[in-house]
Amino acid sequence: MLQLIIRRLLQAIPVLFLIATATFFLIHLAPGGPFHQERPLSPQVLEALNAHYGLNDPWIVQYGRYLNHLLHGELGPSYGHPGHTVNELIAQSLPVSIELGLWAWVFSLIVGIPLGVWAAEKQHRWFDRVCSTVSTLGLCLPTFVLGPLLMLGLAVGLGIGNVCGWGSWEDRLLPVLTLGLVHAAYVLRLTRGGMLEVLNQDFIRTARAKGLSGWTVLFKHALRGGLLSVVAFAGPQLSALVTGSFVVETIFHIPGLGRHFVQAAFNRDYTLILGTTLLYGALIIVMNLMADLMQAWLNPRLRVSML
Amino acid sequence: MTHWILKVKLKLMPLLDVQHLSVSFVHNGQRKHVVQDLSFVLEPGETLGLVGESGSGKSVSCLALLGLLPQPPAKVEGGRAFFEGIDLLQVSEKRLGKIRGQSMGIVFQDPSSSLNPYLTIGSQLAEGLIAHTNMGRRAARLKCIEALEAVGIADAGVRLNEYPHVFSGGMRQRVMIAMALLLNPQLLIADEPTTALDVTVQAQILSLLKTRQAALGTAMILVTHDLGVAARMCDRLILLRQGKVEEAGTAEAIFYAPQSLYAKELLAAVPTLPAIV
Ligand SMILES: Nc1ncnc2c1ncn2[C@@H]1O[C@H](COP(=O)(O)OP(=O)(O)OP(=O)(O)O)[C@@H](O)[C@H]1O
Ligand SMILES: [Mg+2]
Repeated sequence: MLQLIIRRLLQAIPVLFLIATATFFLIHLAPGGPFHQERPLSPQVLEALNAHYGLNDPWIVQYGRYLNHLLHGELGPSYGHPGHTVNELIAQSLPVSIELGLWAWVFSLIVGIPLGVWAAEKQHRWFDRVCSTVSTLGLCLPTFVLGPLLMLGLAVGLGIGNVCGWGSWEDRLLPVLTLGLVHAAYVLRLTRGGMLEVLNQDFIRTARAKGLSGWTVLFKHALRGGLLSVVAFAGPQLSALVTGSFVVETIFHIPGLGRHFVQAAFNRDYTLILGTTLLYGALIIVMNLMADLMQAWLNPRLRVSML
Repeated sequence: MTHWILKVKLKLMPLLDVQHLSVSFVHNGQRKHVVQDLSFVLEPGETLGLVGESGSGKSVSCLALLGLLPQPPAKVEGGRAFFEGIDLLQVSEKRLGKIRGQSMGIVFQDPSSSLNPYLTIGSQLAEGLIAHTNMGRRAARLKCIEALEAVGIADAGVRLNEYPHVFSGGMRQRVMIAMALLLNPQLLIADEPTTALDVTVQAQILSLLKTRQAALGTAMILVTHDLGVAARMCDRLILLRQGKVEEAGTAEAIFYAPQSLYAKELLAAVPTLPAIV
């Protein structure tokens, strides 16, 4: 077990290295640079800035310097936010995104799993149909539509929750709902599909033959197998939610990581792009590892092949 | 002594009395009659063979008796099935579950899919005991070890903690048999218990079924499409064809003096005379 975790974390190092390398050269290949703006700077200023940040050096030198920083845990100075390092920017905004993402994640699981289980149990009955319709709708609805709808309906209409900011719990309600509902729809569908597949298996018939109660059959015999696909999905999902959902953070004016992601790309803020991309990569690796461990815990056959 | 009491009870009421059972399936919007007018009587301790080619409705008949048909698409069109005087086709789902768990054991065709891959053998064995008796966990565990040993699984105490995937097909079927007989049911339904197994293992499992059945005095419905197996295992046979009874009678009569053409065809398919187990 511990061995597996260590092995997977060691494997992560070359992966992150590859991500850093690929991202580095790709963004440098993109036209423009950090200080190319609509209103051009005077050539002297531009030259001074480039010299200050070492942007005139050959790429390979810049790349070596970046890797050296990286080895010391430094993500470098941000070009788009003068006076701030990328480390600082991430340290400020990541906790906000983590909180938003975690709440949305928990919400999606708490809502999606029970509804999915129940929909599978009541397949083709009205409850199942309502769930299917609503979740399809939820999947079709982009967050930039759902967000304003919730603002109108809940905040403006019913006076529940606030439309912007990130201070009190009322501030958190709508963004969490906006982000969580779509994912809840995903979780519901995955749960329902997984449960239906398991409920049709022979061993469920065996369990019924033993005269066990419906609940025991559902929760003891079916749930484990039924949740495997949800677990596989929920890990990467959490990393996606946590690294910031640019749209939701923008709609609700939340000072999270998502805006850095997008603005950095527009501004050619090389170091910030690299920093956020690496962070995303690292998170995905860790979450996938957790998902794998969780799956192994659920499925004894995997347990053997993994260890 | 018990034998004598059994005999008296036997005179009073058969263990299972199936009358005019009919089952249909809706498939692609069409209703298909899969079992039609099936009637038979099963006495305590007796073995009845349900024989017929693939698709003749053997499994569906068994599942209908157990209340395990997926309804819909299946529908029990009519008939009655008295088990110790209670009509299995009318009784409430809850009551039926209890009867099934306590008094009926079932061994399905494919042992690799009929055990839950996510739970240990021990917890799957014990749960029926715990649900239907007032046995505690420890007592149930001891009883499970005993049951596994009775079906020829060595080192049962250790194997209880293992998952089905480390068991071979034959061993899984042994586990299924142990599970089916754990509560000393009056009726055992074995739906092609050996079709998914190796030929050498088939004989072992069949003789295991026979010895356990004899030891416990359980009545059995044995489903098979092998008339040879049926003749050597069963007291009486029912030949099904496309959901209808083609011929019924004692095993000897059908085996040595088949009346219907169908029985003769089936017999011709049996390569050699059966050895007595
Ligand atoms: N879920 C289902 N939906 C539709 N038709 C079904 C279903 N299950 C069984 N049937 C039909 O019922 C008929 C009888 O099937 P059954 O499983 O009882 O056959 P069987 O005699 O057990 O055959 P085998 O020896 O292959 O197990 C078949 O024609 C089959 O197509
Ligand atoms: Mg069958």
